[in-house]
Amino acid sequence: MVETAQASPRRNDRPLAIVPAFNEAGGVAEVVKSLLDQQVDVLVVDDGSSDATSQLAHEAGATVITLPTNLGIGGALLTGFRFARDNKYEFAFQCDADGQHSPEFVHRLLDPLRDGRADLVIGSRFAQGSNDYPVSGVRRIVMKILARTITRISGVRLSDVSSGFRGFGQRAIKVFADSYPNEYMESVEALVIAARAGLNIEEVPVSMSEREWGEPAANSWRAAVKTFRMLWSVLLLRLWPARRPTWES
Amino acid sequence: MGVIARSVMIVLAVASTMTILRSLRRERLPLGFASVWLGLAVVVTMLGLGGDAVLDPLTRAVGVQYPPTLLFLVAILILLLLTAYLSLKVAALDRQIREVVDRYGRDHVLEPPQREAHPPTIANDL
Repeated sequence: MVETAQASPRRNDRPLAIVPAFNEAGGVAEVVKSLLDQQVDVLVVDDGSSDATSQLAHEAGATVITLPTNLGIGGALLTGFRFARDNKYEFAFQCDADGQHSPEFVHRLLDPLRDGRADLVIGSRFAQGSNDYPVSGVRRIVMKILARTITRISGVRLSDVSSGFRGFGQRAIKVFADSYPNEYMESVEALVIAARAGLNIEEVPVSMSEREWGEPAANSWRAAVKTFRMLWSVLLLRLWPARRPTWES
Repeated sequence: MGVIARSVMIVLAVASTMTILRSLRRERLPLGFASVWLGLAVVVTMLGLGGDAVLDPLTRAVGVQYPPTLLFLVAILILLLLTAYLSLKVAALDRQIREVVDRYGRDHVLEPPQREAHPPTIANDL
């Protein structure tokens, strides 16, 4: 009679951690374990890695979806949102696989969702109460411009719009499972979608460590390219805001 | 137009017509594309056969001063249209691939290995 409880170990009142991972074999197991310690379910979406990311994440105790080819972070997240929707998770949150986001802050993301205050919670590196996150001069300015633009569009004061540490309530899961942007800077565009879908957005302060594994993309000419593309995406958002379906539709 | 230029046009047009027809028969090329290319081949053949007798009246009719520029203009416009069409097509394929990859992924979920210290055990311990 041991095997009667055939139901999946997943209990969907537990929050789901969506961890997009591309070639993160170095750190993914650590991240999965520390997330499991927070009493959440963990879904690692292996975005077509060529290393052992899937296997290590699975061994560490995560549910794993292995995409057969690399879609980029937006595509991996879309799959995560659809998994959360299909398995009727009430809460989900996004967490990087490189150890940049500290699982201890998970409940700061989840509390406003549980209270029903917000549908989408952003863990901000720059809000009052977060520690100093090192960002170089030009990039800092660009991030401020981005934040101001999104603040205007969403009507909510936001200080960190490119943070990849976010919590999602059921409405947000539904909106993003329908469509999640896959272009560069998808995290910024996602906020525009959320605002237009009428989701309540809230920001909470978190501290992030600098990336423990993987290459920081803040060096040399790649930083310049990144900066330029960020500005370009702001300009596009200002000139031609995308129209998206609301969560009721 | 000199004899050489005209001959080259005709030879190229005929050769590409044959290639297109062959790939059409082997179902390598969809009918839509094949029709466009065949239409172009016919135009080039006619230009090659008729030479200036065809090109000059056309040029005058459109109001272009120098006949060869008309050829370039038409060629560039056609290429522009084609690239625009292709980029739309690529975007559509990209969307489709994303859907397929997502669907495949969610159809092949790797469930986590049984964890210790999960509900039943806890219930028993209590």
